[in-house]
Formats: sequence, structure tokens, C-alpha cells
Amino acid sequence: MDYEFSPEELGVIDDTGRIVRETLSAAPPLERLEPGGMRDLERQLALNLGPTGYMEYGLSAGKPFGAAAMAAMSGFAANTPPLFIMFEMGMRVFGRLVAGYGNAGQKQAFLDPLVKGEITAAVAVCEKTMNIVNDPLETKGERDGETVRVSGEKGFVVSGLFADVIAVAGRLDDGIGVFLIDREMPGVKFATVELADDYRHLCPCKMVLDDCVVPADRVIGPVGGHALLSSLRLWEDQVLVAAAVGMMDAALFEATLHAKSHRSGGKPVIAYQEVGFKLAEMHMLSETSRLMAYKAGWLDSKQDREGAVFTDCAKVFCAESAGEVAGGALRVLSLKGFEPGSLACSAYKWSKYVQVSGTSTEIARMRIGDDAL
Amino acid sequence: MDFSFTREQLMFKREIIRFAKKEIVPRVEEHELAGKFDYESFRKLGEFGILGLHFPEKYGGQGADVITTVMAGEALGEAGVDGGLTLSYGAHTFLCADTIFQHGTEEQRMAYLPRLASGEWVGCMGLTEPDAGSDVASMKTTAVKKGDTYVLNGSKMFITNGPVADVALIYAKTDPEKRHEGISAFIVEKGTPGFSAGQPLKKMGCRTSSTSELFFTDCVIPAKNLVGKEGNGFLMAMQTVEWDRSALLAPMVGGMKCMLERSAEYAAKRVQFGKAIGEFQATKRKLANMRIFYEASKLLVYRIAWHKNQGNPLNHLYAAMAKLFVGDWSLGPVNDALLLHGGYGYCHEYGIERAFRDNRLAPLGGGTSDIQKMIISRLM
Repeated sequence: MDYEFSPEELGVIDDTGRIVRETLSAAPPLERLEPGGMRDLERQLALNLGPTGYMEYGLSAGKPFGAAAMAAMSGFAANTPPLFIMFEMGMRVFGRLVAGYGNAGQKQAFLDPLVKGEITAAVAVCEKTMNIVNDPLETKGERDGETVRVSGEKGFVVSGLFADVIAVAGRLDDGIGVFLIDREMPGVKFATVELADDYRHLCPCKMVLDDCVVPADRVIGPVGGHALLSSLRLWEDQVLVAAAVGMMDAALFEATLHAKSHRSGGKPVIAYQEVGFKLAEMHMLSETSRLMAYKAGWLDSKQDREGAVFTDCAKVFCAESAGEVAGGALRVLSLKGFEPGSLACSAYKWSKYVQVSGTSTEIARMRIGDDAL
Repeated sequence: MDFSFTREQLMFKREIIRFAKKEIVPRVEEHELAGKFDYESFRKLGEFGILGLHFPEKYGGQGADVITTVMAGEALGEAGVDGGLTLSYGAHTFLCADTIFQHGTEEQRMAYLPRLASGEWVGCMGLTEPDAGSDVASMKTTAVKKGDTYVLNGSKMFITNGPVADVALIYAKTDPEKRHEGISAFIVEKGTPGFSAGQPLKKMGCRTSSTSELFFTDCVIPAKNLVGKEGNGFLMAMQTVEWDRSALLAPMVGGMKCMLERSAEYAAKRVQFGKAIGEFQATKRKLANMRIFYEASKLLVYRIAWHKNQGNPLNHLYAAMAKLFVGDWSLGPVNDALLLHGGYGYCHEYGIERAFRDNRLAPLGGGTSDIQKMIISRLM
């Protein structure tokens, strides 16, 4: 047992937060960026983060995903939940997919350019058939000589509006395959998904694949059973857990700072039990969430079979705690929480996304219940 | 980071669960209904080595590390041992015996620890008073030095093991003018003239742990019964917080695992509307809440244990968070277990209503949830 990080891990964690802050301060505000600008920012982040080793977690054979990865990721998320989710859902999940299931040629073709920020990536899994029992995917690949012809529709592809390459999951032979599709390939159409408010920063799109011809060297799998889809879902959930922890940190930081500096009745408002106790509960939730996140990462590094159900537990706890903490922060901040740039306000909005995205907290609870039975 | 336990620790945990299910759990219902302390179970804990697990062998212990010691408490809860007996074990081993072990003289250690570790003697600790609960420094019990003796006057309230204790570790003011710095600790043996225990209090839960008031009326004890130095009592009491937030919370963590397992077993067998209630989403949700609480509380409790095992100074923030979380957040899942069992949960036989009552102590005992919030907010 060990509840501390090594000095090397702490270095990566600290460097990640610093580099993300520096990169963001040199970039235009997200509100002003079109999909092309988001792509450039994502590439810049990958390039800047490369030397820290951040991108290697789960992508490099010598650097398994783990608790330190979750810590570094939450540090990234604290600065910018939307950019973090977009970056990780694309770059990390795509990278882990190639690293975990791809062949040597695919690893060589994609991993190095990804880590260097030379390409951007997205993962397309979501379909209208996906629900609690996960009906078979309707997207399907048919072998045709040295190629695979892919047809189907994908509903919500994060960073799909600009990604250079998109990993599309679908049925292939008797298993699940992933088709690595270039943006410009014939037979692929993209359509914008209209989202309210800041959620548009995710640059999501729908994809329609109509007899899209994919070369055989761009096909991962097929993999039998649920392993591949389960991996994708697990990696997505890990990203969302880290996002929840990061946004709690940000919201709590802003609220605590305000409660210590804002005076009312001759004393800082944190001195009032209604405020101080609320902050204490928020702090407890964020710290407990952090431990849940770290253990979820650690179990992944151990390839522990408990990892999936534990990650479900972490997903529920962290996502719901993020909503509680961000909501509490807004109450402490009062109208200040509604000013532009408020971390608490951003956390509140994104905590709702984290609850429904990936494995929703409702579905996660059902899976945990099934495991208990 | 590494959240694993050693193979030996896990094997030991399984042994304790096996032992407790066979020797202790069958006795719980009878004693709980009667509201009586179970001496036989207590001594069996001693025979198994649990009461003095972390003490060196020369004091009757096993020399176990902190993680293993905390795990023993978790195992008792997981086996289904009631909150009353685990509370008695906690007060005896960590609040009384461990303070003698940490701060006592060699003579005091040799005189008391072997008997406490074996379960031959029961120990208790007296800190709380009728008008001094969370505000410890306002205690009124005094210890006045007269020659080679101290004379104790005052009373203590809500003392776990009070009516059954053979030895009590009592905190009293040696300098009433001072607050925390005026508190000292003393060993008082049962039968000492001027020392008596009140009738066992009738409690909502934890009924197999006997709780009472303690009275001191011109109670004369030898000066050598002072533990540590005069004025260090409060610091010594605070040092038990590490155990309080790990070993004493651990049975509640294990207890939730027990609730989860019993609830899942019941949900799989209980049929309503033509199918097992476990197939209903509302049931799965309750099971999930229990599992989530179990996993989260376990991480918080073992973090305290790990730091103590490393010899790191107590992190008060971590300690308060663990206590607050286990205290407040356990109430919902235990309630879920009761609801899941329906009318059967409300009846005694299933042990669920007992766990529900036992658990109500969690946000109160050993520092209320509000006190934990105060500590956290001050440290932020």
C-alpha cells in the first residue's frame, strides 16, 4: 500500500497543470475559436505536453495508465473542462485504442504523430442502438478484397468537426472492429450537432458512412465479445472521472478564495458556519472523489478485473459530487459565480455533461447493482 | 500509488471473518436483545489476538502493523459483528490500552497491557463529561495532587465499557485555570474507593457495548497512576484520533460490505410480481449506493492507517474528512439496506434494523459531524 506519488510522478502532475495554463494563456479564448482553431489548440497542447510524459500514459508500453495519470489529467481538467474532455476523448482514447488493439504498423503510423501533435483524432462509438444492454452496433464493415466497406451512422463524435482521423467502431466478421477513417475519405459525411451554450466547444458531429472504403491496414480487429467496446467505455469513463475531479478542484478553489476574502458583518464569510461547513462538505467530497479516481487509475494499471465495476463506482461518485461541489460553490459565490470566466459556473455546467456522458450515472448504478447480485 | 494489501494481510482478514462468523456472530442477537455486554465474545477476541494486535509480544500483543490492525476491525464488521462489540473493542484497545502503551511507564505497560490484550480485563476511557462534550477543555473533573497521591472529583458521561471496565483511563484537570494544557491522564482501577460507574444507559443502538456515567468522589489514586506528564492529557487524547479515524471506523466500512452482501442475497431470493426484486432497477440502485459508500469510505480510512503506519504526523484534514464521510454518508446506504428488506428489515432477525440503529452513532461518537466540518473549514 502507498498513498503517495513518486517524485517523478509529481513532476509530471505539476508540469501538466503549468503547461496547460501557459498554453491557454497564449491562445484566444475558446469562445472565439471555430473548429479549425480548436484543432490548432489541441495540436499545440499535445506538442507542449509531449516532453512532460503526460501523453504517454496508457499509450507507451513502459508507462501504463495509473493513479498518476488520473492526477495529471484532473490538473488539466481544472483549467478547462471542455478542452480537456475534447482532447482526452480524442487523443488519449484514440491512442489507447491503437496502443492496446492496433498492430505494429498502426502503432507506428499513429502514436508518434499523435503525441507530437501532428495529427488530431476522435473516436466514434455512439449509436442510437446503444443503451443499457448495448444492442449490436448497426455500423458494419464488409470485407471486399484488401479493403473493408463500412456503412452506418454515428451520433455524437466529440471533436469530430475537425479531427484528422476518426476511429469508427462497428461490426466486422463475428466481432467488433475499428475503422481508422481519414477525414477526406470518400463515403463519409459530417454534420454538425447543435448544442447549447459552452457545450459546442466539444466540436461534436454526426457521421454518416455510406459504403466508405477503408484499406485493410486501417482496420483494427475484429475482437470477439465485448472486450473492445468495454475498453473504449472504460477509457472514456476514466476521462470523465478525471474531469469531475478537476472541475471540483477549480470550483472549490474559487469559492474558498471568495469566502476568505469577501467580508460581511465585519468578518470573512467563511467564518459563518453556513458557509464554512458547506465548504467543508465540498472539500470532503472532492478529496474522496480524488481517491476514487486514483484507485480507478491504479486498478487499470494492474489490469485488475475489479477495475470496471470500481470505475463505475468512481464515475457515479465523482460525477455526482462534481454537481454538488459546483452547486455549493455557486451558492457561496452568489452573483460572483455568474460573472464571465467563473470556474464554478463552468464546473456546474460541465458536471452535468459528465453525469450523462460515457456510462451515465444511472446506467453505472445498474451495472454496480448487477455486479453485487 | 498502490492500494493493494499483502497476501498475508488478506489471509489474516479471511481468518478473522471465519472466526467471527463462527464464534461471535451467533451470539450477537441474544446479547443485543438483552442489551448486555458479551464477556465471552470479548474474551474470544482476546484469545484470537485481536484486542492487542498491534502491541509487541512482551505486552501480550502480536506486533501487527497499523494496516493489519485496521483490517482486523474491517473484518469484524464484514463478518457481521455488531456495532456494540466493535465499539467496545475500539474503546478498550485504542482509547484505553493504546494510550497506556504509547505514554505509560514500563511498569504501567507490564501491569495492564497483557491483561487488556488477552481480554482478561476490560478497559475504558473517560474524557466526555455531562457538560463537556465537543468542548473538551471545559471539563470539570479535577485531580489534585496530595503527597504521593492524586484525589479525583467529578464525573464522566457516555463512557463506553464504563459499567464493565476493570481499568479506566481518566482525563482530569490538574490545573483548572488552564484549558487544554491543564488536562492530565490517570489510570483508575475498578474497586478504587470513591470510583463508581452508573447504571448502563439505555441506548438506541450499539447495545452490547455497555455505556454509563463514571463518578469520582474524593477518589484517591497513587501518583504513579499518572500517565505521561501533567498537562499532556489533551495531546495524548488527540493522539488517539489516528486510531479513532481508522481502526474505530473500519468496522463500519466492513459493516457496509456485510449489509451489501446480505442485501444482495435477499434481493436475489425475494420474489415479487413474479421476479426477484434484484431485477428491479430501484433495488439495484440501493445495492449500488452501498457499494459506492463501501469503496469510498475504505479509501479514506486506509489513508489514515497508511500514514500512521509510515510514522507520518496526523493529517487532521484527512482525519476529519474520513470521520465526516463515514458518519454522514453511511446513513443513506444503511437506510437503503433497511428499505430493500422491507418489513423483514424492520424485524430483528435479519440484523438490518440493528445495523441501522448502531449506525446512528457514526455522526455523533468520537467527534460529531459538525465538529469535523469546523475542523475542515478552519484548515481550508
